[in-house]
Amino acid sequence: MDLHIIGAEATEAERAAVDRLLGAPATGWEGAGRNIERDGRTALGGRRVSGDRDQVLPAFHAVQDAIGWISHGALNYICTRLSVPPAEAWGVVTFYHLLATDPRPAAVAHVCDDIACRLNGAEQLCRDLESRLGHAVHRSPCLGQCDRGSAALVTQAGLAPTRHVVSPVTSVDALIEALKTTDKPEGVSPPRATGAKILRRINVAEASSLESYRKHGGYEALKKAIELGSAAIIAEVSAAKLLGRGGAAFPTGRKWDAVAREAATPHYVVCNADESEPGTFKDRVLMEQDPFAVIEAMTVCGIATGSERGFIYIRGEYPESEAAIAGAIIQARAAGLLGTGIAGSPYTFEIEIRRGGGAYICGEETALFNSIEGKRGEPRSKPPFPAQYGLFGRPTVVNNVETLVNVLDILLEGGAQWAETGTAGTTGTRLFCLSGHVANPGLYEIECGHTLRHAIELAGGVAGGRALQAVLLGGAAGTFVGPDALDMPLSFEGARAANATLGSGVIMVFDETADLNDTLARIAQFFRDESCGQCVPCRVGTVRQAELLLGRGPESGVRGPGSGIRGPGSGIRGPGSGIRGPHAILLAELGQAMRDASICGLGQTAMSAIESAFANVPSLKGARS
Amino acid sequence: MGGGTSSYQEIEETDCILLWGSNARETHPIFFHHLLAGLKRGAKLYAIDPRRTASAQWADVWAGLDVGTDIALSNTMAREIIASGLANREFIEHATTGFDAYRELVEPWTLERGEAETRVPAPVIRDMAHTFAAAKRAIICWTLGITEHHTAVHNVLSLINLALLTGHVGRWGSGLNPLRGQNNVQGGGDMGALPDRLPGFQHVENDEARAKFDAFYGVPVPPKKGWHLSDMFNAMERGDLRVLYVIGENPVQSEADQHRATRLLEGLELLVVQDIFLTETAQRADVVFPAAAGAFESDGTFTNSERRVQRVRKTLHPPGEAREDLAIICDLARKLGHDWAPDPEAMWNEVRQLSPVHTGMSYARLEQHSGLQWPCYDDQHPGELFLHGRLWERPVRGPRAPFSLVRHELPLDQLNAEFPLRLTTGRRLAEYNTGVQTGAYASPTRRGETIDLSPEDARHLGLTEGQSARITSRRGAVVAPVHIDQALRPGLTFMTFHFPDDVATNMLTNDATDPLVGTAEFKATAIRIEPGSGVRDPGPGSRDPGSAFASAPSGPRTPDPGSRP
Repeated sequence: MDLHIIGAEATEAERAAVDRLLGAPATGWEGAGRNIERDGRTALGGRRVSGDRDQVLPAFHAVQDAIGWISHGALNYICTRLSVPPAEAWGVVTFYHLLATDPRPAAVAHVCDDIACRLNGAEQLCRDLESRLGHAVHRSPCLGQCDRGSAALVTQAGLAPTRHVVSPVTSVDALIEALKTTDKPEGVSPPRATGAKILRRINVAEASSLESYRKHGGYEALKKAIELGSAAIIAEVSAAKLLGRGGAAFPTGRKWDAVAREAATPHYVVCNADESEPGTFKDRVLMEQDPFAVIEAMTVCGIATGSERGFIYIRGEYPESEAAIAGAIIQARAAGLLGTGIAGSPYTFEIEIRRGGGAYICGEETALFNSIEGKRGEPRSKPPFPAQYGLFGRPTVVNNVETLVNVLDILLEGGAQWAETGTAGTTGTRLFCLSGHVANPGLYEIECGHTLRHAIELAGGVAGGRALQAVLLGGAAGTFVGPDALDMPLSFEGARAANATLGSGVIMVFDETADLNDTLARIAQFFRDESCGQCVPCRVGTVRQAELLLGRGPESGVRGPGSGIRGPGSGIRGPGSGIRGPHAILLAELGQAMRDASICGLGQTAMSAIESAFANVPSLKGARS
Repeated sequence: MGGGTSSYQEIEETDCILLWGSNARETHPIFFHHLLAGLKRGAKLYAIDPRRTASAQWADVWAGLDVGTDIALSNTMAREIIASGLANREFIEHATTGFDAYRELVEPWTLERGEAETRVPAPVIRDMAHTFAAAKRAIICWTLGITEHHTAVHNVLSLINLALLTGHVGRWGSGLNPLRGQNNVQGGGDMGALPDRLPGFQHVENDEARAKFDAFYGVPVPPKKGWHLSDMFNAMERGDLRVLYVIGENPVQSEADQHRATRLLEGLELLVVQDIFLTETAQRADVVFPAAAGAFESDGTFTNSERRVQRVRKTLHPPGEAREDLAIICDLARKLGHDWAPDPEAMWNEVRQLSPVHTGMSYARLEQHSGLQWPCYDDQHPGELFLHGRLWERPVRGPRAPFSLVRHELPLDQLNAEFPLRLTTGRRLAEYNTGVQTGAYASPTRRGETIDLSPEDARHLGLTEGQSARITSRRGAVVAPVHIDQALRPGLTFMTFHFPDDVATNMLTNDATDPLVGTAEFKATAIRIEPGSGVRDPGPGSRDPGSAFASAPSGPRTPDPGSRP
């Protein structure tokens, strides 16, 4: 509202892309040509138009897909269609990595140069590609393909846009070839996913077939849920003591119960599939290989919490996941398993997919709500909590993909029975994303309470029989542990006792040859790039932290023993290293300020991996002088 | 009594809002935030305005009527409400008078006739009528788009009719609200700065009320009403008014037909101006009293549009020789033989003794309650959130509310071949009236005065954005750059009067007034537009090239930079 649209106008192609999503504009006030006979005396507007604010991000994706970038003219047109002030829309479009506001070639590769891929030579790959392709190559944070080696997301803009992940990127030439074609790349290997419970259908059932899913026990849990009804479902989930698998480990039963009890309506279910924690790929494997399970679990959640509408927010870097889920939704709807009167019951439930735009912070639940609502994906202050004031200001249950899928077995087995697996504090199994220097990277489902050593052994141990230097648990926001921690039980209480975190299930292994200083510098860069900028401690702190770790600190010119950090590969000395240098102190103070004063978990954990590395990893301790 | 009947909070909790002749988004931005809270809660907003303003962009429906057809529109709505059985018969019978005559009056106003006269599509009028009438709670808000017409009072009465017809008055969330242009316009009226009223809206021709004032002050109050502003100018013309004391007004630039206003003010025997800036009017004064700024250099009270009296406290000493208004007035009184103490609280307690609606508002209570809404009759009275609740009491307390028989009349300044375009005037977000209070501040949205045209008219006239155009009315001509505005339809043009030093818009406007209250018809001027010379029109202000005031400097008004904090 209060649209001050100046200058640029959209091209025909840009308009067409937006109109394909939103339908043709009804009047000149909404972007059709000025027709004074029709428009001169009345206009609809207000809520009717601004009520579609949540179409902002889909509209940007529509233009990005069709044109390859979003011009000022396209932005103005979207703003006119949706009655959004251009300055606000500009704030939104510039928030996301995957949306471009400068002209770009139609075919673009987003190449991962994040921590796992770096271990596979991503830095050199990126440099080679940049020198060959220039603007067609963009470096990307983790693409969630850590089990396959170096990866790239290739997007082709046009009337029939395509988005594919190429993984592994076998060579520079292979990627250049991939940019020339809209065909789906061949040779993407099936995931290595080993597990007895929630992974049991993977590589067994046919992922894209509802029939096959049903043959392997699918939709039995929904049937059970319909019999049980809301209160009994929640009782089972509570009895199972299921903890959230996204990283925060909140009791799922309590969350559902809180939403179910809220008087305000409507209620919403949000599935957080914005899996962006570097090193994490479990939800991608679930969505690509067992999409119906995700849909079914969301439906169960809808019944339990009195919600009739669900959103699944899938990160923009996961085109295959999006396609798999979209296909599953269509089939489920056709089979009466979504929509009004699901499976012959009185329940109604619909699911809408929302594609992220490339922003780690949108995995934070309230940032995710804002992103769906068409705002910048900035976290909200809590309270109010999502159960009271979530998506569109309504009671909302938001769960991670893996958390939801667990609910199916809980209903089928009964909560108490299900809770027999795992430890007393951490029931059930967990998916662990083994990557880095292990012989067989992949997804492993492990009963909670097994040791870290057991997990690494499942993945074939350290590759090439080399010595272990360190393990990163929980991703960039997680903790480094040294080889002395291998007997740590993989449970929330076990991790807590070891002053570590399991986070989103990342187990990234670094052998003796890894350059951990390079990894830490990349992690610092990651947080610098992904900070939403809303609160000062994080916005400034992550930049200063990155400067220090990249050797560009305020006193980086200082040389001499104990005088500070000299950049990657030059012996970073951190707070844990015992060095009394000014940079070590500064780094510790930055970390403390971010931990104490940031609004959300991003700022509060932006120093976690770095500090733990200096504290726990012998090779870095050994750097002390 | 004159005031908005509702509290701000009610606009947040109502179900339907008719925003009539008001671009509150720009001109009452604080009030509009309350309105937005209402929209967020689910209220439906109708914007009735010839232009599709920023406010209309927020509205569920914009109704773009012809300038000066407000009564035609309200009468059509009334007819539709009655014909559809949506009138609140119980309320009408219980609390109003004159309904039968009113029904007869509006009977001919079918949707078709309403559309023909107002040009608002019949389905839009119908929707507006039905939604307003059927809403559980509904509020009508208006500003100068209703009152700056020669039919000002009738326009307001026609809106009151709609509220009476539907029972949307005197209840929480239902009411009638003129939005005030300044923080204390309401307070000025409350204190008797009206030609026919004593403080507390007591009529000056009411012997009983006047006797109270006579006794209190020991001097008789003249027993007849005074002049309103337009009367004053007419009296100047006749030579009956020869001395004028202007406090905080800039009539040289704010009055319609600026030539005449300037001539008359310059012809006075004595012109005294009290202001915080040396305005165009002050420059013509015989005596200027430099005054303190009310907002932060003096103590007292303000009263806002919801009738809430609030304390205002002095935080800065006025600069230089500037003094508080009260001190200046008391000094003047002393010279005239009355020893008044310039003590704001004592003065306020005087008001409380004389104005029953303010009696319960001691400074201590105002402080304790963060302001109180009149009427507030005694120390225990909580103040009234909304007015006219009495109409719902059984039996009605006091007189019943009359329907008013008001007829549609077109603006006086009629369009013809010579003056084919309608100019309407208004205000923008960053500016306030003639710019005295805002011109000194930088604003990123300030673009100076323009003549705003529809794209169609601009094309027809061969004018492009920024090109200079000469605008002529039956009274004068000015030159202004063209701004093409999609919010306008062909035949409708728009100007502000924020930059009178550059473009004296009120050279064009019609000083024909509503005979009942004297408000001038700023909103409806007939003009023609021709490509301009590109040279600034010297304007009538320079008739006397020897005058020091002949040619005001262009650009934003800048007070002496050293004189204000």
